[in-house]
Amino acid sequence: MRPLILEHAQSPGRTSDRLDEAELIGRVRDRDSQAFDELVRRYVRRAFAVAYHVMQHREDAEDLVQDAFITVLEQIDRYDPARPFAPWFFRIVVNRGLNARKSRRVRQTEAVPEGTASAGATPEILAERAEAYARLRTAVNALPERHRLIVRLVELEGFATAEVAQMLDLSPNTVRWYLHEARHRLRGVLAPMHRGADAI
Amino acid sequence: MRFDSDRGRRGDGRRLDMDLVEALRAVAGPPAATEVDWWTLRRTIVGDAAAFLDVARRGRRWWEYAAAWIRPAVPIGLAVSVMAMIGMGSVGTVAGSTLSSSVAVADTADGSLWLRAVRGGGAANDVDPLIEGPRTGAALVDAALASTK
Repeated sequence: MRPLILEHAQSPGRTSDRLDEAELIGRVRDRDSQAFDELVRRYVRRAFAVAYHVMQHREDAEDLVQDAFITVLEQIDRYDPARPFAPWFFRIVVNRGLNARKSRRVRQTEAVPEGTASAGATPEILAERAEAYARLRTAVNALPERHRLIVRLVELEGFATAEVAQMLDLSPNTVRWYLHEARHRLRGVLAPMHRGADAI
Repeated sequence: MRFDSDRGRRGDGRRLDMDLVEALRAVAGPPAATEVDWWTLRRTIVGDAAAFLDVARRGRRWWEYAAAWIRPAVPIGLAVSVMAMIGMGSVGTVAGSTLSSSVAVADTADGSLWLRAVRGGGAANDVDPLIEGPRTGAALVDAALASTK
């Protein structure tokens, strides 16, 4: 058995990586545990990020990532090797996450630490920042689930709308529309904060 | 399609300003990478997958072959059963017709002797030729001559 070429997924665009990935997926299809381990290593971080945006809770996101990788093994025979693996995989993550949210009560949304206190920040600045973050959190939570997920995946994780469209089984135009609406709402709600950003 | 951050951006619209993105990340972003125990998460995932992955290492067990074959085996078995039933039906029809014609021949030729013997109306030696089986040509000629006398 040839050793695996341990290229990292942070540079997935090169042809050699794509070929390696095709070989990797082929070996996973053959139930090669070493290949599966490498697949997990390549995708676990981005999968977790996507899962977190769906579940909004760290432990739920970890559970979802585990579930998604097992689903990959169960459904690998349905995967078309001619197509890239990542969209297919992230679609599994999103679909199973959304189904989990529908079918059971997920843990309450985790309170995310609001950054560390800046050195030299006065109590007044910290208080203003806390207020601004609270307003922002309210605005984000007020978004419909699909809008929220799309804006998070695009703005925070750097996915293109076409990629998000594949994950959510929507047309790219629909995703762009949701994204436009979400941005519009956030800008509207956060405009006062944005204008006063210099003060923060 | 590559899943990296730079491709496919054209047409995605005007992005949020960076400070708003940072604020958004602060309130809605995933935990920092350093806060997640990636090694443990990987080990857990690979451990959970062991049941799916050790097939290549140890080879398949008989029940795994059975499980793999059960799905195609059911319709194939059903089809074979149907074909067998159809085949047996047609053979049975042919055999049945052959049997009934044989019985008819027997009834017409020797059935009366059997019936008479069973009913006690015939002599035992009337049935003897049927029990003993066919006689030679000479014996049959003798019997025919005797019956005409």
